[in-house]
Amino acid sequence: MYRPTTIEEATALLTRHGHEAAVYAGGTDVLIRLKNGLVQAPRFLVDIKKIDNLRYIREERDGSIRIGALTKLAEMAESNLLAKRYPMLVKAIGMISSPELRNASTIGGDLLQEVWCQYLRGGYSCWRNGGYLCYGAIGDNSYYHSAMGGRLCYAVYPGDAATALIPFDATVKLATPGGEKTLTVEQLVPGDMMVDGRIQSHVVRSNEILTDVVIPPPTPGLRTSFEKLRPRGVWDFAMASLAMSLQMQGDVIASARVVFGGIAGRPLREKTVEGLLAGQTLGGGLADGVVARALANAAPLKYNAMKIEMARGLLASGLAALSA
Amino acid sequence: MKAIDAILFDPVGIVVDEHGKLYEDAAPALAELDALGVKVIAVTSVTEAELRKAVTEAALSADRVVCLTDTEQGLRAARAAGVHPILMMNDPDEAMRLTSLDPAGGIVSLHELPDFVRLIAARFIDDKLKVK
Repeated sequence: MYRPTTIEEATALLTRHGHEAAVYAGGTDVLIRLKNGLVQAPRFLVDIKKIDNLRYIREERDGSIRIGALTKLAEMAESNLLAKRYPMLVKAIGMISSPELRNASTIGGDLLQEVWCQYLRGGYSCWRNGGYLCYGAIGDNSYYHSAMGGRLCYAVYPGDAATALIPFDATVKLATPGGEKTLTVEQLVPGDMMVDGRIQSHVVRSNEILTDVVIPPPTPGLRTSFEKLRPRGVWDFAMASLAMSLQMQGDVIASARVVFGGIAGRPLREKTVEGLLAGQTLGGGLADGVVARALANAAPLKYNAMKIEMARGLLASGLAALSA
Repeated sequence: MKAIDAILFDPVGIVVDEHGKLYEDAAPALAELDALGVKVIAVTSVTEAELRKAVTEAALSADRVVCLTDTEQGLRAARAAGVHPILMMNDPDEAMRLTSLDPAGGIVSLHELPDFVRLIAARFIDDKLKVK
């Protein structure tokens, strides 16, 4: 265990150890991987909690909100500033896992968490764990697996924070050995990628550290909603979730962001629906025509076709909520 | 597996149906494999003798060859021939049963094959060089 006090020191340690090291902050993901003895679990932890200025929520001069990567999810859920600016985000964060885990988990960790496929976490030799086969594709895929196709690994990206941040066009800052890098949240978690020879849901290399999340100021007329379906009201990850923003001009939708969580290997922007919504008047029978055409390229596995129905149901209820 | 130089398979059930019609994911995958420099070799049947013959005729090193199959017989034949058996997971329940035979890997669709090849190469390079 290393305890660097600067970002530069931390990235140098990560560079030295490569895949054998991992960032340790809240620990609600990486410690479980260690405890489960996964092949892909790190041998060295780089504890970044001693690094100053990574735990804050503050307003910038341009009206955007900047959140340090070590900020606890509970702190976000209880932030008056966030509640005033981005109530949808606060609702989504408040629905992650349990109060105890929100007190431990950080926003950086939530964005970059490993998938929760029961075969991976159970130590199966799958693609993410040093093997060459996805057991989720052929086993029980009713919960943790994609209904929208896959790419070797069929696990879903589990984080709700990314799903809720994308409608706001939020960005993240990464500290890298070559300097700071800025990505949109959508670019950060594009779905399974081979990064440094590993399959992962995000593009952060083994010697890079997520330091900040930046959310642009909300524009006048922006309406947002977040909905989530899960087996139990606490603990569980989303079977399906939906974060949506509608930029209104009077009663007309000027533009839309429709992002599904829990059904694919990434937060899934449904651009077909976004296109259908643009220029429409909110309310009336709008949902009927849109919902039927949502997720047309779904590719469910044997046991998870209901995820698509759930997602379409969330779209209908989300549009109803925003029409009210 | 260190790298894949060639892929052996019986086309029926893997790239074409029983009527000889090409599966929709076959042509793009085969083109991408060609671009990667991977040889794609059809065999008349997935038996040890046929697989050994294909490896010899193409002057391949068996430990850099995979055999794509969806049957127990195919997995066993590949092992016996010294090539890596890769399970084509067409039927989920049957595929789960066949994992007990310890295939070297498995794919759901042919479109995953190029990624399969790339990932093995990346892992091997990373292990050898510890690329940062």
